[in-house]
Amino acid sequence: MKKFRALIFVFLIIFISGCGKKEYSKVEFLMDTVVEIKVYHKRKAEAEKAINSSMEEMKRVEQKMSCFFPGSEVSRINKEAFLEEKKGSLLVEGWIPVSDELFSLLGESVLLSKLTKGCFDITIYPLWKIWKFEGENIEVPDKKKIEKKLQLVNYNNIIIGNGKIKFVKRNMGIDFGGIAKGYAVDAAIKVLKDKNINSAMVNAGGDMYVLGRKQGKPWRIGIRHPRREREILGTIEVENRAIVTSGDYERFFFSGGKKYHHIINPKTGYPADECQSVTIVAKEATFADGLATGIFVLGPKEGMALIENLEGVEGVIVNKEGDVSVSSGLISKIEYVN
Amino acid sequence: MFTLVAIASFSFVRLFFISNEGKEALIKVGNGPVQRVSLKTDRRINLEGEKGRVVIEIKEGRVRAVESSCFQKICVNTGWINKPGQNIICLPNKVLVTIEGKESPKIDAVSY
Repeated sequence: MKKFRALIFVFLIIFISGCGKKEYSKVEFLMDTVVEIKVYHKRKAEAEKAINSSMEEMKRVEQKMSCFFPGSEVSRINKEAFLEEKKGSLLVEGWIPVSDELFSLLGESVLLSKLTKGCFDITIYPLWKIWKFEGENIEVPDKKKIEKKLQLVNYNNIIIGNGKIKFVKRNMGIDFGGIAKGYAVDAAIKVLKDKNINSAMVNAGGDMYVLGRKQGKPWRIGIRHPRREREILGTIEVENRAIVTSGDYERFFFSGGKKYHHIINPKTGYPADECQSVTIVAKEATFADGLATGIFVLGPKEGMALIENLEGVEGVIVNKEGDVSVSSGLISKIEYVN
Repeated sequence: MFTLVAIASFSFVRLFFISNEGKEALIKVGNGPVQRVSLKTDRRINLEGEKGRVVIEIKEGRVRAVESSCFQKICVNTGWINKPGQNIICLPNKVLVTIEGKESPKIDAVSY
């Protein structure tokens, strides 16, 4: 009887805690995608204020981290990190001071590069610039050009220390494209938490973080089927987790009957072709974003081994044949959709 | 020579879910306010997007983009939508059309 009462009490608490919260949301076009912030909260004014601050934070991150904004910190680094200063008759390479925020993101990027054996690499920028996936005249870059740019891609050629950065080679550059959306999602969630929001979702074009529970229940997230446009592969129930997917269906073009998608292998200079999609579930969206990109390039076998070795990380990999592998911690949680 | 087929951008939150038919669509252009339009009256709506015009058609409770100034026409190729949570997105023009409905979708979001 006591157990029964205790059970009722627990249910009551769960019920009450989920009650009285209403849904508030906002959608904006940011970071070249659609961003949605959804909050469950009791007080409208607080919820809306939190959403607005969170959205502003994502805009700030975009301005700072994008290599496409000429005034961004990343653009400045790309322009100046291989600067040679003339001191008398000597040429001295320049060190560029970076903000604490960018410095820690650089550190995380290098860690991801090491974990994925260089398959995630922010120094891909010179290559990415010649692979244009936008605009009207998209074409495969010249082979010699790709080979030349490949010489500039290697995360070991970034030197960071004491809050400064330096490139070893001239014309190197960095691009946080494989990690920035995740970072912006984490930054937005941090703002929501600071504003006492404990049930929310920040979704940047399918890369998301779900905070707490949604009206007392875990969030139910679908994983897109990589070959069936409007279908999902399966669903998972999660809370306080980031869910990020990298797929070969996001941006691509055909040339000579061959498909070229936007996830470029930093070692070959051409699109990675071992996977159709990689979904990572982790504690942080920044890490999940970089890891999904890196594992997509690394391949399904080594990728799944890496997921299994990382604490608090789960994943779903669809290989090039369309076979699905699920990490051990998700096997019993994923619900397949026929 | 080259056929561009980039996809993905049109598939967004709750795109995929089957539910009852929606009665209203929400339209957002750029970061402007959200407009709510009924799907009961057949008509065409011209939207001035970031790069040019996007024409939306409402017919028999469904909605689609019939014309767009964008290059890839992902929005137009999305076709008709009529279920709550389904979307038409034109990223170049920053146009989003979502179907609203009372019944909540079975899935909160889709990772893609």
